[in-house]
Parts: sequence; structure tokens; C-alpha cells
Amino acid sequence: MKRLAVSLIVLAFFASLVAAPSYDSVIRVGSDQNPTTMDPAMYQDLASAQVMRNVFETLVAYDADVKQIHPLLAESWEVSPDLKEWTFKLRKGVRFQKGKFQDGREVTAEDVKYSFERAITISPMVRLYMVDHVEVLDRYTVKVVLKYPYAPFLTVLTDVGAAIVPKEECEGWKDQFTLHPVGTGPFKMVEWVKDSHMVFERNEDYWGERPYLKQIIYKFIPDKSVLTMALLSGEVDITSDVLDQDIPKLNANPNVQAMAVGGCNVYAVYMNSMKGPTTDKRVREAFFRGIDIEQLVKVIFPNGTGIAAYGPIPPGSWAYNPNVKSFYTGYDPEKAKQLLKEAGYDGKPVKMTIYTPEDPNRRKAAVIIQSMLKKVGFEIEVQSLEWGSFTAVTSKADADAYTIGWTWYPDPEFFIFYMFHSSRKGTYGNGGGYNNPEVDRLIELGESSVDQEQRTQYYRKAEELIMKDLYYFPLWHKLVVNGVNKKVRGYKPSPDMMIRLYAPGTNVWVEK
Amino acid sequence: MGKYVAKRIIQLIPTLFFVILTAFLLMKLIPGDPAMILLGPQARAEDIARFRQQLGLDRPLPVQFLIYLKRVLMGDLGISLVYRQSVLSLILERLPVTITLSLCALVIAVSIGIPAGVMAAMKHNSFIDLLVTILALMGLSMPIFWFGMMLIIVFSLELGWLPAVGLGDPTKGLWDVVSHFILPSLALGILSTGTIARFTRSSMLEVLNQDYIRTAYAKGLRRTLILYRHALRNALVPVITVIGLQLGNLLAGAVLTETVFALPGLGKLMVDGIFRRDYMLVQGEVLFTAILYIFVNLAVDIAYAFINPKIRQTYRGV
Repeated sequence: MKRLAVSLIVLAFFASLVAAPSYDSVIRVGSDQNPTTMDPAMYQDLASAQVMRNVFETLVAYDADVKQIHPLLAESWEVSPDLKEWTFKLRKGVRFQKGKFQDGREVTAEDVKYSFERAITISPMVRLYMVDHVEVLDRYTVKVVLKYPYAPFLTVLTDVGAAIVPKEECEGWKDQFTLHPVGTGPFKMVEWVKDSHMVFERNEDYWGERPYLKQIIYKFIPDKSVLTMALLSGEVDITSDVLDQDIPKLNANPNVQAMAVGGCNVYAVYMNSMKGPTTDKRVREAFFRGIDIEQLVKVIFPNGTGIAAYGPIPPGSWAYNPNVKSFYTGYDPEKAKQLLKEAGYDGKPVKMTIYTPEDPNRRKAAVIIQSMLKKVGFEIEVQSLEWGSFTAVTSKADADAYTIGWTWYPDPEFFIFYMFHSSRKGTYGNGGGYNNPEVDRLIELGESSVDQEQRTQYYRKAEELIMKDLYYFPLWHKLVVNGVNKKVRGYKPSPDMMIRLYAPGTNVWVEK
Repeated sequence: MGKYVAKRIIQLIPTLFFVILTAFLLMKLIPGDPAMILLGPQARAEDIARFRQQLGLDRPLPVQFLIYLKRVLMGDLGISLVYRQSVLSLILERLPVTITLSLCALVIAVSIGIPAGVMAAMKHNSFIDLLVTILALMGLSMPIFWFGMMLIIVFSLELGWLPAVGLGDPTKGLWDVVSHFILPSLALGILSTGTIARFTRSSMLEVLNQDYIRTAYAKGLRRTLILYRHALRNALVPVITVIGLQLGNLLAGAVLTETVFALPGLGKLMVDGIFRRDYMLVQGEVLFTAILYIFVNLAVDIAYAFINPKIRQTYRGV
């Protein structure tokens, strides 16, 4: 027994030697998306945000699970009871990376004011639009005043679009700042060949825990199948997105693994609440009961990279309700036929059109729905449109039904407000014209409370009402699946699809 | 000759105008409001209006076109909506990769296609002729996307001989750069190889049936001399036109090749532009590619006139 214990200790000692992280590893990340800018205020896409996080930091940040907000450049914060004034205490001694126009000076409250005002003025996506103004209280204290109470404000601040940038470099480089990014982050950009690759090196003057990675190389490979091949042949160590059909290839290779986590996304069918057959609740219920959602998802994701959805809040969000399935009508084709009969469709089919963009999965789903519902008495036409026409038709509530795909921050606000608040009628998010005053009220309550537990209750209640109204037929949540070489250590995928190599609680390294 | 060239260039003016007009209208005909799409779901009506005004999208169509025409004539293709950089600079950054890829593909196509065609013509109706014809047809009908994938699977994944994707690193030596271009050039070149082989074959056959070849045989000249001196030279004249036109096709085919092999060229820029709905970029690139195509054609015509005096004669004294 004693002997066993000793050998176990010895074994553990050697295991720790083998697994000990070193500070000289290099990682190669393969991404199917191509960054367009390195200027935080200007970015509009995930790929840019992902690479920018190496160089730039925000006041607060999510961990890899995107469940918990952690302090980053702000050490602590307070919010006024009316949720309009947010005061941040900055971490002392944080320095910018050395650049052409400043030599690594300390970050102060003035920089926060400058960065936020810059983002408000020049961001094409109107970032931080809820901010009224920013006040500098002292060297390390800054107050952000909002136009209206807005609980998800901290989540908005985790976005790299709200990163702290040095004024001297921004003004010095002007629109060339994107090519010479300088922030407070753990890595510096050393090379960027557009559409090809990017190289980052460790910032040796970084204020926080030292990153294990000496160098990060991003390779941009637009085709996802080729991306998987690059992982299998050892040209990259991590890939951004694995196609369902490529999962068996990864499983067959002993050097790599597919790592998955529930994503911050939802795909659904949105029904028209203003005109057409779906204004009749019986028709909508027949639609719900006529589709075997488990079967549909199995056909589209045979290797399990998508799961059936039962509500709009995705599993990647902290407000996800594990009991959401209980609000769901269930699959019952006989009941569906009967409902249609009651609605006056005895003998004649319900004719309607489902619009879908050129997304192969959504097109496939529409065709499956078409054939499943044919059996209960629907006659559905599937219209596949190019994105511009698709959004034009659907946002004006000109479609009987359309397939919607939605992905955003993990805060439920972004899945409930933008898709179901009546003020969002006429946008792609609420293109069915959904309007339920009680849901509106719950959303507004959710916006004006900071207590995460309480907010969760409001949004879950809203979700329940939405599901009972039967205008929104959830299809699936896609898992976020990264292909990862087994030499990569300390990595886990994030629900928002961002590959985080260094974040609160994460410091990745690569075994030799 | 000078007169011929001048005339050909003047003929280009209406073509160019038409191309510019088409590029402009194409983008106007695409449904969906670029401002709305680019600003994303959180944009409010006033942001969209401001953005439209910034882009000049709120002005009447003819005014927009005149502004566009003037800009294009001054070499300004506009600012990319996504990159916030001049479209021309984005294009010029990536042009070398596309040109290199297209030329490598052309070299492969010519150096395989012409000998194959000549061989097929000389062994007319033999097994070799049949083989070349079949292979040429396969090359013509093979989708680049699929063929590129197959090349990657065989040569990178299974054999491990060549890198699958991306550009080489010049600091690692010439081989690193060259090796990254081999598979994409093959994938792209295979398309034109078939065309060139078939064309060479028929052109060569036609020449071999001409009287002067028979005369040469009758004079007792050596067979190789007849074939290479007399026949091949004449047979190649029309082939050159085809080669020139192929260059245009290769530039177009580069779109798919660059996507499969992750090469940072014009094609990849175009695909990215379309997926991101960067209207200004796509418009600029369509125009640029069309102009490039027109000038490649012009160069071919001039080269052709240079080789074939008959064409020049038509313009003499006009």
C-alpha cells in the first residue's frame, strides 16, 4: 500500500514534469474568417475581434465560458441605483505597449474617456450608443453616464469595440492605426499579410500574468473542409469551426480532437403575426405539432454538432433555462390535422411560403419542414433568397414565415429584446412583427436590473410567454466545435465562437 | 501596325464606358440597402440615414453615376465599406499573387497542353490520340473546387509532399514559396490544359493536311524538320489567341482556386467582399477585372497581328 502511494507520488511528479508549461511555445490558429481591421472602434466581425483581443484590453472581460464578467483594466466598479451612472476604478500601473508616438505610458481615466468617445464617434456599428457622456473623476476613476438605465452595459464593455486605446497613437497614425495597433494587451502584432496570416509576439512588459505563448500565428483558410485538412496534416494546431461532416475525420486521427461547447446562437422559424395564415393560432399550433424537431436536427447534424432548440435563449447564455422543453407543444401530427380542420382548412391545404437565405442548413431545414408538414395538411413553398433580398422581404413582414439565425453576446437581452420587443418591428430580428405588451414589460424590467438572478427570471418568463404565443418555432442551437491538436494545453472553446488563448482563467500553451 | 493599334485602342472607349455603367448598375440592382446591412441589427433609422448620406446613396441615380464615372476615370474605385481602405490599394496589394498564380497555371497548361496536342495530331486516330482527347475532356470538365481538394488530400494529407494552403515564407528560401504555388497552379492549370491540347490537336491536323506539307514531304525533307519547322509554327498561330483568352479565364478561375488554397489574391478578396456585402469593393473589383480582361484581349489581338501579317494588311491605308 505504502509502495503504491510512493509510486503514485513519483508518477505524479514525472507527470507534472512532462506537462509543465513552458514559456516558449508557439501556436498556429487556423481560422475560416479573415480579419478586416485592427482598430477596435472600426471592427464589425468576429474574426477581427478575436485577433484584436491579443493587443487590446477592455475594462472588464468574460472568461472562456462567457458566464462570468471579470475585472480587467478596471479593478472594481459601482452602479447607481437608477442604473444610469457606472463608476470604474482603474487598475494602477498598467502601461500601453511602446509605439511610435508614446513610450509605454500609464493608462489613466482620460484614456477611458478618449476611447469611449472615439468609439461613439467613428464606429460604423454605432457602438456604445447608450452612452451619454464620460466624466473623469480623478486619475484612476471614471464615470460613464448612460442615456437610459441599461443593465447589460457591462456585457457591452466586454466587447473589444470598447477597448482602451492610446490617444497619441490613434491621432498620430490616423486611419493607419489599424496597421499599427497599440494597446495594453498580452501580445503585440508583428506581422499582418492581408488574407493570408498574422503573427503576434508576447508583450514582455505586460501587467498581468505572463502568457505561456511566445508567439501566435493565425492562418486564414476560408474553406472549412480545407481547414480541417490543415489541422490533420499538422499545419495548424486549432481550427475555428469544424463542419458536422468532418467530425468522423477528426475522431479517426489520434493526434487531434474535436472540442465542443453549447453556443450563443439560435436558429428558428419566425412566423408572420400581421398577415397571412399564421395569424390564426390554430394554424401555428398545427405547424408546431407537425414537425418532429429531434428528427429534423438529426438529419441536418448527423454527427451531433447541433442540438434541438426549444426556446430563443441559447445554452451558451447564463439565462438558458434547462427546463425550456416544458413550454414546448411537442410533436403530434394527428392533433395538427385536427387543429387545421377546426381552423376551416378541411380538405384544402394551408398554402404558405417559407423564406430562407442561402445557408445550406437552413435551406435543408425548410425542405424537411415542407415534407413533414405536407402530411398534416400544409402546402409550403420554399423560397431561397440572396441575403439582401432576404432581409428586405423578411424585415417588412412580407413573408409568411422565414428562417432566422441569430448570434450575439451571452446576455439574454440580445436574444430577447432584439427579436421580440415590439419596438424592433421592421427589423430582421422581429420581422414577424411580434407584439406582446407583457413580454415588452418583462424585457424592460430585465434591462433595468443588475441582479443577474432576477434578470434571469424576467427573461425566462418572457421566453415562456413567447413560446406560448407560438410565433417562433425554434430549430436548433449549433455547438461551437474547435478542432484541437492534443499537444495544445489549457484550452477550452467559448460559446461565442471566439478562440481565447489568453483570458481570465485561461493561459494556453503547446507541448513540445 | 501603329494605325492598327491606335484603332483598336479607340474601339475600347465605348466598351470601357459600357463596363463602368454595367458595374455601377449591377450594384444598384442588387436588392437590400447596403447601409442597413452593414450597420447591423442594432442600427437606428437616423444612423442609417447618416450613413447613406456619407456614401452619397441619397442622391439621384444619374448624379451618383456621374460622380462614380469621374472618380473611376481618376483611378479612384472608392473606399471599401468593410476595410475602410481604398479599393484600388486593396486590389493592388493582392494582384501579384493572382498574376503569379495565373501565369504559373498558364505555363503548366502550355507545357503540357501543346506537346499533348501535337502528339495526338501526329498519331492521329491512334490510342494516344484517344487518350489525349479523353484526358483533355476530363480536364475541361473537372470542377476546380473538387480537383483542388483531391490534390490536397493526395499530396498534402496522404503523401505529405507539399503544403496544403497559404503563401510560402520567403525567409525560408525559394522552395518554400514555390512549393506553396504548385498545387494551386496545377488545380487551376488543368482547366486550360484540356482546351489548349484540343485546340493544338485540331490546328495541327489542319496544317498537316495542307498542300505545302505534302510538298515538303515530296521534296524528301526530314520528317522532324517538316513537323517542327513547317507544321508546328503555322499551327501555333491560332493557338496563341487561345492561350491569350485562357489567361482571362484563368484570372476568373483564380476566384475558386484562391478560396480552396487560401491564397491572398484577387479572387479571395472578391469572395470575402461578396460574403461581407462590401458593395464598393465588389463593384471596384468587377470593374478592375473587366478592364484587365479587356487589356489582355487587346494585347492578344496586337500580338496576333504581329504574328499574322494578313490582319495588319486589312488596316493598311484605311
